[in-house]
Amino acid sequence: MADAARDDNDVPTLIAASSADGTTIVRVQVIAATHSLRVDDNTTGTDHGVANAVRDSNFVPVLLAVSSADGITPVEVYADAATGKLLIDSV
Amino acid sequence: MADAKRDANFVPTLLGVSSADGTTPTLVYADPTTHRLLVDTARSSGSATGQTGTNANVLTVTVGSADASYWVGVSSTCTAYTSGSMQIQLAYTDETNTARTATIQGHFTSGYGINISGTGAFEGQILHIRTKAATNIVVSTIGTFAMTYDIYATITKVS
Repeated sequence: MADAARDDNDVPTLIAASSADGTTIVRVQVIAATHSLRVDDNTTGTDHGVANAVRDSNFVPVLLAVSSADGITPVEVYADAATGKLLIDSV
Repeated sequence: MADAKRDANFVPTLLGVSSADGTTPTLVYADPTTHRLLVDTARSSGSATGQTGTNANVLTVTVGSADASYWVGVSSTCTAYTSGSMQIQLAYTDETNTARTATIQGHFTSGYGINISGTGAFEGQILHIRTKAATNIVVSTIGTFAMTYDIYATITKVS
């Protein structure tokens, strides 16, 4: 499991939960030259049932968003563990 | 203004700022099944099913404040056919401020062309266009025909 990298001011970088298990920490990657977030735009995925944000060993929580189904329930945002790409749905 | 939701450990969910005013905090959504973050891309889509006549506005997109390039894609399925032919038309204003119309070619049943003249699926070819700022891109259907059809259009900003 990777911990969030940090800048000189100890600000952590983005981390998300692995789409493989909903638990493993994944560093979300950015293209250095363009500063663009690397994403994987698709509509497939599996809910691994993790209700609360998992944390790295420094207690940095993964990204949480709100369920589009009810606008209330916190939902972990997943990333691909192999590529570091944040999973998005743009459709 | 919405407050961030929190999990059982009080970790707050993502908040963005409203694009309407640059100030109001706004909740960011994710799909609860796929856990994918929902994002808004420069893609618009329109559709109409069970159409029996021409449709002047299957999809309209207004170009922003700068000239831009788009991909335009269409498909259609004729479910009942009596006579005539239908075509899918793209209207826009190019970067020189000249109004343009293009009849979209595609694959229909066994060959390529612009006419839908029987039951079957029309798979339109993607067009790349350069458009003038603050003008409209319009996908419509034209022709003289007696048929029932469904149509789908997507316009994606690419640069």
